[in-house]
Amino acid sequence: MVKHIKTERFWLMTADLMFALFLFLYLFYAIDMRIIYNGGGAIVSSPMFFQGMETFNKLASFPGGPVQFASSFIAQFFYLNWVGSLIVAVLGFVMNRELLYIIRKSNSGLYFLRFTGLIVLLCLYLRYTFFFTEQLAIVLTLLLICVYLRFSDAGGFRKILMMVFSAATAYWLCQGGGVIFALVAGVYELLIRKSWKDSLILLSAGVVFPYVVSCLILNQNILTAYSGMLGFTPHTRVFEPRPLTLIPLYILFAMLVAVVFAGFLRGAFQRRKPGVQAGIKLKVAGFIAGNLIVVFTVAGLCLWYHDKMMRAVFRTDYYATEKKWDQLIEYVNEYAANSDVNFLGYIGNNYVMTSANFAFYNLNRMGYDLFLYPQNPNVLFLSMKTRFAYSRRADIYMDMGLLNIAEHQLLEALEVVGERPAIYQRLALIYMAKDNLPNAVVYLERLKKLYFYKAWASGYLNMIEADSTLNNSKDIKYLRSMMLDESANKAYASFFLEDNPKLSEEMIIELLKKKPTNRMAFEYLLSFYMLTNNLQKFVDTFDRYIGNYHYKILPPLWQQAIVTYYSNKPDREIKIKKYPISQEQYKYYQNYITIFSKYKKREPAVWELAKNFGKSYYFYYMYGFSGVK
Amino acid sequence: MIANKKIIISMIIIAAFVVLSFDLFFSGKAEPVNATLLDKMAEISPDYYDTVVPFNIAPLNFTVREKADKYFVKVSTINDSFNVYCKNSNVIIPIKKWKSLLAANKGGEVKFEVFTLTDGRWVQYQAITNKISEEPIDNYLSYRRIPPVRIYIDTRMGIYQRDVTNYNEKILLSNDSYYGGCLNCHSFAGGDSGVMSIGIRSDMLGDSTLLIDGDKVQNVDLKMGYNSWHPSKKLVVYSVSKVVQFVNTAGKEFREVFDIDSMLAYYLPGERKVKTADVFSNKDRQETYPCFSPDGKYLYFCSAPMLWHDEKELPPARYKEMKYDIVRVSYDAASDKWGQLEDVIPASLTGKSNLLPRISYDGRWLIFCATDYGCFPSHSMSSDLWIADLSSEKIEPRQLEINSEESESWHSFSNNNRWIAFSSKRRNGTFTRIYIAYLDNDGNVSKPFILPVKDPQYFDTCRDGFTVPEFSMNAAKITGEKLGRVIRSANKIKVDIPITMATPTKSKPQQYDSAE
Repeated sequence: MVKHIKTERFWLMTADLMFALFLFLYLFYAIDMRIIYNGGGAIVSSPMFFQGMETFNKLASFPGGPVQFASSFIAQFFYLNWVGSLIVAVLGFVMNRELLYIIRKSNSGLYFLRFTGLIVLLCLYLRYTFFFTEQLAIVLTLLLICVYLRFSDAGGFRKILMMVFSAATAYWLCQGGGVIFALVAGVYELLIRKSWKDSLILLSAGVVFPYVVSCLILNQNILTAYSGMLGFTPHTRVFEPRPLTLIPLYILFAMLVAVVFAGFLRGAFQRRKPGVQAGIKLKVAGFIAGNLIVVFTVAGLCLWYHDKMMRAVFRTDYYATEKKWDQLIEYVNEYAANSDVNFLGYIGNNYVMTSANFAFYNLNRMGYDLFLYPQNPNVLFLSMKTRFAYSRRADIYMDMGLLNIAEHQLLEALEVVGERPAIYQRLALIYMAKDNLPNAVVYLERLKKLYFYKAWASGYLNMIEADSTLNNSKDIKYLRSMMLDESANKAYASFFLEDNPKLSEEMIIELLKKKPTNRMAFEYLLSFYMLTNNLQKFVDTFDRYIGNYHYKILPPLWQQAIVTYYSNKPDREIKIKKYPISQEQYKYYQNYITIFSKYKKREPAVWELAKNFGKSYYFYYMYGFSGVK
Repeated sequence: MIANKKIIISMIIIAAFVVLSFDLFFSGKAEPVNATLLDKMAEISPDYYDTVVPFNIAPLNFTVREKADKYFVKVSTINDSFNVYCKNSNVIIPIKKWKSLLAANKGGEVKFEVFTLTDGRWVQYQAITNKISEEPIDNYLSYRRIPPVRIYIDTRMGIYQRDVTNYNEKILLSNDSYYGGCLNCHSFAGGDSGVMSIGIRSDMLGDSTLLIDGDKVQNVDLKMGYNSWHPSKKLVVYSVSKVVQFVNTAGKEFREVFDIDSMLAYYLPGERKVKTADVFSNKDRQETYPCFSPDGKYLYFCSAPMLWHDEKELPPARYKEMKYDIVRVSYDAASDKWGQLEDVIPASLTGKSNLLPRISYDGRWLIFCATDYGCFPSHSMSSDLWIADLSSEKIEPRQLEINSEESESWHSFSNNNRWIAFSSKRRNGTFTRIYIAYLDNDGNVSKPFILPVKDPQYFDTCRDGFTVPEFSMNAAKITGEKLGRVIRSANKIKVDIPITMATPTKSKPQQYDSAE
């Protein structure tokens, strides 16, 4: 018998380790925890750990504070993909073991149900969410339940003390998790130990502690008091920009409680006496069947539940934030090759394309590759009402020199997604460029308390101390050279700035008037006119500013726009400054016209034109979308 | 079992001893010996020097901004003193010693003598001196904590009440309690935090106003802007406005807030009825910032000519010409009658846009904000505090000496009229902080000091703004949970609202239930 038990334990442990290993590898290779840590503009209230006593002082005295403290400390390591993946895999493994222990204690034998936690954990990351505090809270709650089940055999006054102390500790550590603790332990006492008195004490503690501590003493609202750390609070529900992603989290809690209760019920009402084991063959069959169900479930989820849109959004956002332009374009190429044009939907496409266009500019490819991907006029400045967009938009405005607009977008982003290091970095740079050093110091001091950003912030703080003009900083010098001075100020109603690309056009026109050498403004404006097919403005802008820049050759897409413009003029003679139109482009245009003439109408010509000219401006001009796909 | 208990008790005692010894050892209780006296004051932050402090205020903890290995501070008055042994450059003053020291020396001076140890040598800086007032400050200060944002619906914010005699800060209401949204425009009736109003804006639950009286709450289906209680507590006058924010493409102040249209109305909680009067809902003017005189006989408010008619033109072409006058209208509470409009401080008198009138409880002093243009002082760098003596025959407002280059706004008086609290962006231009200053009998104001907090470096990295400070003598009794429950219940009190927008349109002026 002992041997059988040992063997059983060995295989259970092996299965748990295998699944944890799989989780680690999948998270590492297929999800990439760095991009979740970066946030993609869609992860709200990601925990941040500030070195020093600030975080601890703020949290230690509140119910759930210890878990928040721990989660903020651990979460900072998601900055590194392998560490983040390892943390979640370990969390999943621990959750498995905890559930196994509880199921064992109930003597129900439903061991395969222990994978519930791990599966739902996987689901959360397949949807690119980061409810890490909640995950930690549930793991700790399960641990406390295990400890309670292990050490609560005694009776009498000591037991009462233990129940009250455990419930209070669980509440202090995990807030809402403490309520789950009291519920599970209470039900265990009732069903397994058949002690309604103990059950009543635990359930009462679960009701009384939250109300007294959180509502009466700390003045918190009742929903937070009973569900803090569990994702049910009004705060979480309102501020989560993707409310549907909360569902797996709720399922996690519901499933865990259901699994535990199912175990208890089975343990309470089964006919078999405790300690009497089922036949070995039957157990082996059950073990294999249970694990197979889990394997198929996991495989199915990885195939069909993985949110491809969010993966693209998060990954491109990560590369754009880190300014890894080559990797960004490489990824977008891969994405474009493997997906339909509208695969990501409007928001997803726009988000990815905005980052891609930003990369094109930084790689000097805007006039070459703009139509490699599906474009529309809202893509340049991510002009749409979505809460994801603020920080992405801010980067573009900032690099372009519209620092106030970037500042506005970043402060909005800060409130929508919460404190993020990248937002702080950008705000600090803006305030330094604007010579508002006291404000810059507020953000730099905060960054200095973050482990992975300390060096960056200290560098600037030292620079400020050495020379408050910051004239030696390359980044600040660049921003100052691009930004407008107060005499050029123009006001815009803030709510129009989100989804009206026309306002961006207006602002860039003003910017170019003051800073005619601003290449980014120039190229973005030309691209905007191409995307809106406004060739008159394209040519006017081109003529007015092209003298300020030095291109080896005129980018082909611009040549195509110029050719298209003059092809619609009566005399058809191209009159542009400085750069000639290449013979190759003339020929390219002739070929386009030849194919189009063959069909005489737009619709029938689309397939052949798309095949041969899909990435040209001619095609976009005629059809209003890119023809590469 | 008894042996076990003994072991446990012994272990606890040993642990306590170790912790205490550790603390004492590392606390660096070093006293200065043979200190060299320098002829300058130590640089400290916040800059608590040359100011007047209430004798009942919480300790003014500060950081010494001088590099040294050890720090020591002697806090003294003419009669008494105590030492502060610092673990680092933060000077954390023991609260009990501080309070007894100040209480025993009302009207005297309190000195901070700063000593630092560098390379084994102690130096002493010139003493930092502050005056101790004879008058106490109100025990409580309520304010809104809000980050510098536009989308209030997504923002975490709350109204907090701080006991200024210590560091306790209590949440009165957080927007966590009702699925997010804006909460604003809190105002107390006569410095009594038992009676107050709080505006609620929520995407999920709609707009409403909480009217709180003791532990009773009315959730009124009414969107109140800035408001002021009549001393009788029988009515609240409030502004109705269409607010728009602009973003500037260049310049330090990147945001501006504007009323495209506004007017005043008033709510009678007893009758559950909203009314307005022609005198403050003039279609040719914009009216805002109501403020009752303490005797309730006058309503002061701000009024400016309407300079645009197309509300879709944003920003309006002439918005930088918008300057408000402070005016008043008499009110007879018994008959609910409003009198004629009187100029108090026209824009022409200051050359500025005069905003946010607040009157001291003795009715003598009027403090207001004056900005170059517009209606929202906290988003205007040019906003300064001005004062006018309402008891003099001719009102001659003057700028207070306490202004900075940044925005000053949201001021209020303590119940004994000796203290003013206001929001200022003087530290960095973006984050508003609360400052307190002493107001003497002649209307002179002492150098303001920032609201003391336990961690003297707290405001260096805090990204919340602290706005709308309101003094009160008593703590609010109502709990945040109760307020949250009332809001969440969505059982709003329906009121008869004849007003559907800001300034009445020309076609239907008769729809207003005018009291006149």
